[in-house]
Amino acid sequence: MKTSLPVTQRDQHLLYPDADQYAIATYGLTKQFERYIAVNEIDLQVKAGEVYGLIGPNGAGKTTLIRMLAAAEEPTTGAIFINGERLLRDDSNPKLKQRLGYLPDDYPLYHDLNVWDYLDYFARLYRLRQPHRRRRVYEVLELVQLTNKKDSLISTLSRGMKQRLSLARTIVHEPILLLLDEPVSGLDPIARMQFREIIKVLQEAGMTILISSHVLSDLAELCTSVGIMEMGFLVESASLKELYRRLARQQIVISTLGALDDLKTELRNFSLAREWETLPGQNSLRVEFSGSPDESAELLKALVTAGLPINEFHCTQEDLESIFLKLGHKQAS
Amino acid sequence: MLDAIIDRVGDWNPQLFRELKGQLKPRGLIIVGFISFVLQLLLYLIFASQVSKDPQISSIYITSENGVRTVNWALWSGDIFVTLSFFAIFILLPIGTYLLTANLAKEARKGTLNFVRMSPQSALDILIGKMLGVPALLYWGFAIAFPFHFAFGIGAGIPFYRVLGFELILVAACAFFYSIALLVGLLPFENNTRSSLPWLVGLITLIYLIFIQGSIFSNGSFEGVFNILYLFHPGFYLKSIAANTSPFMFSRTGQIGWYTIDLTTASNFLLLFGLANFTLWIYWFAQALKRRFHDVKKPLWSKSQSYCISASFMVINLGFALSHLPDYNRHRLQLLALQQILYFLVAMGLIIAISPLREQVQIWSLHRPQYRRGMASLIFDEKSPAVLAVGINGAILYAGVVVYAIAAAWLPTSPSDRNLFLLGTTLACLVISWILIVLIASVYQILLLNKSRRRAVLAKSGLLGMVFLVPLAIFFAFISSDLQPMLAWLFTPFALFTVREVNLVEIIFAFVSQSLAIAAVTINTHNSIRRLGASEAQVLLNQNASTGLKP
Repeated sequence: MKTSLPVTQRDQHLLYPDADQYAIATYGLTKQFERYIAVNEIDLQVKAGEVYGLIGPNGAGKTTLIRMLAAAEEPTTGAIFINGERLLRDDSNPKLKQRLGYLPDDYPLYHDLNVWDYLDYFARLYRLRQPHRRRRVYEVLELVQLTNKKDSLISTLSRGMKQRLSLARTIVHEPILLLLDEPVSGLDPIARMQFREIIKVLQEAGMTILISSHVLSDLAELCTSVGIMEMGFLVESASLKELYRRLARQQIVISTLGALDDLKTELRNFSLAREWETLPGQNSLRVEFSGSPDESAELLKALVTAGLPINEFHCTQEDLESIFLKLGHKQAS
Repeated sequence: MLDAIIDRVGDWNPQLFRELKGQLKPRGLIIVGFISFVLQLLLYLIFASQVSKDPQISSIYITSENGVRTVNWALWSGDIFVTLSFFAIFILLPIGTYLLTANLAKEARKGTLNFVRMSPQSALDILIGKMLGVPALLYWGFAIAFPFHFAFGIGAGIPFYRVLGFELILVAACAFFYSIALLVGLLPFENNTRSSLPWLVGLITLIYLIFIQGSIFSNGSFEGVFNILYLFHPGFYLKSIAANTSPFMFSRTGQIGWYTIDLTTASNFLLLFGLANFTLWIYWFAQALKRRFHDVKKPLWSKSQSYCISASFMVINLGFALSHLPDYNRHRLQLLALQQILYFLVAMGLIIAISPLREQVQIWSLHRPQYRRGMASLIFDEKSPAVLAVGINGAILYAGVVVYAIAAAWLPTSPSDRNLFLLGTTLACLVISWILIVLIASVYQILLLNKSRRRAVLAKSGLLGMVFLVPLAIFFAFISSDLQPMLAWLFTPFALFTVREVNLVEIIFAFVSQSLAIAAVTINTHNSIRRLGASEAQVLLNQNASTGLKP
């Protein structure tokens, strides 16, 4: 929180000693609207180069959190650090703002400008000089596949194109931290796929990306870490690997050409196969299996040795949505 | 070529680039250029017809001596210069304020300004870009007329530097009015209110310009009371430089002074003084714009800034007041009371401008140890309640009335005219009026702390009610009575009108009752703030308990 009393560099280091280790670090970040607390004392840490997915039901506080990280909303209390620098909502940190790119869910645009002038305007706002500016505008137009639309008025673009143009505006100044709020909402499957591909390119370019979305399959594909928000709290924050390790159960789908009862009888001999369910319409079982890959190979070998006509045997893992639902959260997909 | 110019301008100010890209299309430029040219041509033809060689035609520009007709070209040029100046004043200011408010209202409605706010550009760079770019077509129209205007000014015999001075005054007036328009555009109105806001701003600007221009024409000077309003009207400066060259347009009687300087004759000083005055107020509005650009809920000015604003206003206005020093007769006492009303209204404006909203007071109350201690926090911290700060502003403003009253009571040449008893009553009424300011500030602040979602409207309605409705109610209640209730008037902004009639007991009663009212409201405010801090902590606890989650 910005108070009337100045916090010195030394005080800052004492209060927030690890702030400079993260691309994003928040401390006790809170936002209250009237008597409703939208974001409640959140301590979020995102390392540089990560793609951090923020999930949670509507009204969980994701948008408010992202708006505060983008300096579009003043926190009620708490502090935000971007690459170790304190983010304040005034004219005091132009360099820090240069490093941020924010794409909100409604992406308003200037309909009286054409695509090129719009990007050129934002490139100028972020102090890009010629000839770098011209080159950069071309680069982002190519990245979002709008080069052929550069002279078109924004009002004539489709929704997907407008979304991609907004992403181009967000990255035109080469930020090192991208904040994307529901970037694929309302897009058709092809536009969503195009958008995903662009995010992957940006990730490979080394950007730190914080992305909120209800489409958990997209997040599972893109993210390295995930945070779950509920009622203003950050209730879970971990790397995707860690989350799968802790919460995702391994499953094996086994199909047989023979009787399912024979298969079930044989499975009872294996303690690692804890429970199973019959897949409707197929002669298959989905088996909860807690063993290692070697142990699953042992299981297959045993089933075949027992003379069962196995025609399918493959291991799967629970997806992000299942994990989320298992945690007791009601995620809309 | 146009693109190349806009491109170069855009390197200096990106916002100006965006506005020019949106505004300056070849078709628009051609249409506006054509209209400007036709208007100039029409004006020229109208004036040219007044100096026709036709002997049947007579006009104020032609003198006939022994059958020889002589045209007074200086007078003719002067009137064209003045007419063009009026065009500039009455088109540039109302339409420009309309355009800027409409532009910001549109950006706020669509949410596009948020992206600009997040850019590393400073608030002032963005707003200067808007100020220069949004009315770009208007500027273009007047840029075409500029040589015409300048040439006729010189042709009228007005010195070059004075014509230039007036042009600068016009630029400064635009910057001043446009700053206010931008500030209004940034105010957090509902979207349906926003649509009518540009019209309202343009209309108020036009009414101000017409009203003051009427006063400048009729040479009424408000007898020193509201002379400060002249300083923001370019027509006032126009009169100063063109009264001699356009005697039929401006009356030369009457005098407007500032301290010991006669502004009606000191044209050069007036131009410099006008520029300095505009610069000062543009500076204060720029400070408010800087604050509001990033956070539309911030008070317009910090408490420290408000003290400087009060002092600036008081010093400038006192100069006008002292140049029309009244004697202590009834008429002059009314002028003194009008002075006090003017300062009172400024104090009301400051109450609205610096009082923090409920959320801000909540933060201040919750994080009390992080702010200054004791009274210092109430005087300087912007999230603290503004009652004491308003009291200080009221005292600074009323210092001007005190100086004025003492000077009026002490300076008359005849000692018999000195009426110290009346001076005493005046000062006592002033103290009561000051207490009323503090009381209104307290009520305003407590209404802002209210839980209602409409608390901002409620607070402003409460303030307007106390300032206007109470006096109106008293007025209508006693309209047919010869006996006016002096005591009741002491509870209104018009306390100083009662100076001759009010007695000591009534003054003491008003003083004690208003002080008690302030004490009661202060205790109430204190409790509200304590509850506010406690309730926030409670909300946090409840939320944690209800979710079973720990932050």
